Amino acid sequence: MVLTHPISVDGAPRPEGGHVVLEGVRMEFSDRVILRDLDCDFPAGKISIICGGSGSGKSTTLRLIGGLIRPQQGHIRVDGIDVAALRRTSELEKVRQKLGMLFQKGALLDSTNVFDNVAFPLRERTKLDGDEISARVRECLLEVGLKPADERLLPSELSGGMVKRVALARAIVTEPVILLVDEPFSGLDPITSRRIELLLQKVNKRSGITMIIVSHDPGSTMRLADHLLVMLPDRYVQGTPDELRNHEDPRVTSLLTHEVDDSILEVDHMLDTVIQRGPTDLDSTWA
Amino acid sequence: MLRLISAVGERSARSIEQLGDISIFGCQIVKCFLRPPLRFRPFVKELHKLGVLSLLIIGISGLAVGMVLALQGYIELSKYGSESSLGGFVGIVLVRELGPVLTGLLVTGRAGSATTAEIGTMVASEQLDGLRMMSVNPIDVVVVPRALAMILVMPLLNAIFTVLGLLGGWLVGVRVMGLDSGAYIGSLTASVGFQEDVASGLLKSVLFGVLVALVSTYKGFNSAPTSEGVSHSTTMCVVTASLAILVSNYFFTALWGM
Repeated sequence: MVLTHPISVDGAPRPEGGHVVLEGVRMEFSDRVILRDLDCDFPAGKISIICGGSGSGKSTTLRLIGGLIRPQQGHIRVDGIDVAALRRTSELEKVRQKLGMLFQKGALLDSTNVFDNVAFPLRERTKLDGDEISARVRECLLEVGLKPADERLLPSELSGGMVKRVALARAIVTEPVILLVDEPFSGLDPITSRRIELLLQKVNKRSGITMIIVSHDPGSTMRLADHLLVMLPDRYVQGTPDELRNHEDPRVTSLLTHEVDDSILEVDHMLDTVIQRGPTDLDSTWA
Repeated sequence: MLRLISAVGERSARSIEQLGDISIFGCQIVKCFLRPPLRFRPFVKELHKLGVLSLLIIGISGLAVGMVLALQGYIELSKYGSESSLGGFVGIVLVRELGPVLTGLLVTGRAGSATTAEIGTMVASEQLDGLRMMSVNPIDVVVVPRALAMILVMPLLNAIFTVLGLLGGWLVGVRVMGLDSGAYIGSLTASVGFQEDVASGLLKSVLFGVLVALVSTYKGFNSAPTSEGVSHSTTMCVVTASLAILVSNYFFTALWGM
């Protein structure tokens, strides 16, 4: 693969594609249902944010899109290609060339330094020579706000915010069309968190990349999102931030504002029980 | 009773399934190895980690085992007036059996467990998923260099263990017990043959290298992504690889002699 959309060039054309659709996705781990009939649509070129309670399947959704796990049912279409139906690794790798992923803990290779971590996908996936790779890596590191002196540091020598920035540089260095981002703000102080937020926004604006972000941070969510998917125990709600800000379901607004009305807790607990036991127990639970 | 039979059956089925999984994993390692590029730098790094860093434990153990063998051997042989056969006794025991087996067990504890823990930690910190998302096969990048280094390192460490063991035997036999040095070396060279002893010992250690490489990388690769999972995989690596070495040693010895 040869890079066609240098990220540093202002006004570069938005890469084609980047549309992700999930249809009727069901996922369970050892008899525990994580996702049931999830239907959602992540528009191309936009920042979509997935939020929801712990264990609602947010990170699982990202891993499904990346083809790291396979659903028991349903379709996951990345620009029309059903990732869930791909059986051959080579076919999956072709789809993954469109994808970049920023993992929650960075997932940097801990035995190699910052430069080599960012250069790694270029060395593996492109035919660029050493000089071109160096230039590209430095460009990306600069883009995420890292200094040349940071290049030689090992991941164990980096702060949490720096790890996320290096991971972001590695995720965007091959110019993916879709960037999957798992909890980019977790464990960061508000200032670093805001820095990462602005960085994601800048990358999206500059390259037109589709971003699907899992986040617990309501402030960043409402500022960043063009599109939202809220995952509740019994339903999935999607829309724009404006549409969902005053949603009829108080759990949606609680997740987006972090202001929790205590009456929700009881309803949520009952729903959990219903979901665990199955719909036949619905009446007895509510009785 | 029925429950016991069912539990045994389930366990057996799981073991057979795991054996199949390890075989498939082994085939994937071979497939990745045959497909260029050969990752020379990580391979050399692993050679250093698995081989050079194991030298001290292998050297000291070899020397100590040779010394004990000579001590025990001398006492028993002297009862029959055969002290001069000490070199041959130490040589055969070390070259044929103890060298490869003890090296295998020591490398399993020292380097095999480290390999499993390292790969397991990479699983837990999502590094392998990170590689997959970059369209890179983790077996190719993470497993192949480690497995190859382990296979290459094992016979070399075995040779060092054996030579130091023979030296330890010589030290005790000649320097401590007062045996004639020529008699020790003469008995050693007369008793230890190349094909039946040296070649068999080296081949055994290659086989043990393959087993430890396969088990340690497989256990790490399939570790649960938690600290408990990594710890369990590491323990299972040592247990499985040690048993595999001891059992396969019997069959190898039996078949080699036929």
